[in-house]
Amino acid sequence: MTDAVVIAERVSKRFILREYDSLFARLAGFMRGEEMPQRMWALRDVSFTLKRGEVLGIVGRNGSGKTTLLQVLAGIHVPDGGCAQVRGKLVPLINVGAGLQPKLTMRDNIALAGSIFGLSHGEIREKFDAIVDFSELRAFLDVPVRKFSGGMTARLAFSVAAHLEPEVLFLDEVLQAGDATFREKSRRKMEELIAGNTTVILVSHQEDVLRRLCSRVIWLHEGRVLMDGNPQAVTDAYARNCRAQIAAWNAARFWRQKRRCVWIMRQRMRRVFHGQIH
Amino acid sequence: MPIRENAYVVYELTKAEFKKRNESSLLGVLWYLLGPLLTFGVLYVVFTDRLGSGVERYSLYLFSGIVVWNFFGSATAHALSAVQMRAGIIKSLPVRRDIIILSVVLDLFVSHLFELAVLLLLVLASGALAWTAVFFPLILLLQFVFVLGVSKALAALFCVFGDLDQIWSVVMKAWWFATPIFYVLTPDGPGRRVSMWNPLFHAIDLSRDVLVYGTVPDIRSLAIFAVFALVAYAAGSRIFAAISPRFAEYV
Repeated sequence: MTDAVVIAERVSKRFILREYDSLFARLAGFMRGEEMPQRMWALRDVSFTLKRGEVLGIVGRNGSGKTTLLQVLAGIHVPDGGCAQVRGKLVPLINVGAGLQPKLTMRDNIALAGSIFGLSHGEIREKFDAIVDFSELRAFLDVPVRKFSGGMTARLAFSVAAHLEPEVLFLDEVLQAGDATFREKSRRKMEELIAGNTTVILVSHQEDVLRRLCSRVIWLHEGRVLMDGNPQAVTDAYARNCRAQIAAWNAARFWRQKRRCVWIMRQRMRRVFHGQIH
Repeated sequence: MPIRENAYVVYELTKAEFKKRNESSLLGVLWYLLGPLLTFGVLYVVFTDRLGSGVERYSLYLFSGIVVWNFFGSATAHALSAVQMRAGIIKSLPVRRDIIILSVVLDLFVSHLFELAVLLLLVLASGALAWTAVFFPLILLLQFVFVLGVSKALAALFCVFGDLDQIWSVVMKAWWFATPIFYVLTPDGPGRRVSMWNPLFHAIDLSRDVLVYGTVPDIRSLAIFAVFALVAYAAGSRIFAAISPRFAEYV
């Protein structure tokens, strides 16, 4: 276990859903005797260990705790139970573009992001050209990032992250950003990083990406690990589950419509019979 | 994380704050100076023959008061909403939270230096500059520590109490009038006793002493202000340390 770089041990996280967010509300609520704050478990006993160079994929419905798990591992949230640990230089790409400063130019953003991830001034200058070339956004170097489209922002964010020489990389639905060409380019870059022994956690809804890149996939459901193992098996099971859900809706809709049809027919028949009798 | 790396992050973040606020131009600083200058102009016109009639060098008295107050007022106002305004960074990047507040205060400190430059020019022009100005950096340092402490407390508490901005703006308004910025305290009135408990009074009074009136700072006042600064910093850091791990949940 000495070469474990990402360790999650029974990680649990509880979120506050509703609480008094002002002094006045606190006073008013106290008088009414409301029960506050209302909480919910976003993660429950999530455990896994990743060795150097492993690539973990995470699947799950919206709100199943995928992003929260990354945030806890990155130290953005403190866990309410268990412990999370990342050894080595971590570059988390969570909420792409959120870490960028909209008012600043692309040039300033690269410098700022580099410094936040612990690069020195010299190192940033060294990598600057590689980042700009990879993003294919050289023409927009002095444009404020707020004028960028969503795809451009994601491209910039990924380009910066990929060139920071991360030892551990978190990608939260980053690879589906950008056009097909850039997507392929970023996947190749990812493969390059993985070959260079970067440990990666990848949150994605694209099964093909997960199967191509991951060595292991975890399926999160309502904050718990529902399945953990071979990418093919887990993504298949997840996809089957999604299809089953959709099939169930379709069936429900069919029965609803059928019942409605029958009801309408009965009404008509009744009207017809009434007409005949009277 | 080694200190040098942290210092570089603080530098880059402060630069980013400064650029953001001034729309990437040094001319933006002029807008920042315009506020205190306009306040000064209005108060000067209104009060120079009334409250200020018996005051020696009233224009410098007034301007120094406004400038020293303005650093406190603007830095705390910015720091108050700093965490909410940076929700993106807080939620997606593992930046040290105290560095974010430090960079906000430093950004306004840099702007404050421009104001101080104007003040120094005015003092020079009126021929009032004395050797006692060498004490000013010490006063400035204490003020920075005080402002940083208050800012940390406000930034953290605003996450828990969403109406703190309303409360703080009222507090600031009352505080502004309670501090002798455009009026003068009578030597033995009740105001002087009350003002002993007002850290801003000490900051402004000490600054005036060394810059405008060329007198050695009152050691008692300096000591009181130092205690205020250290207590504010200690309390602010305590509050910040208690709340900041959960910042990402509050924004």
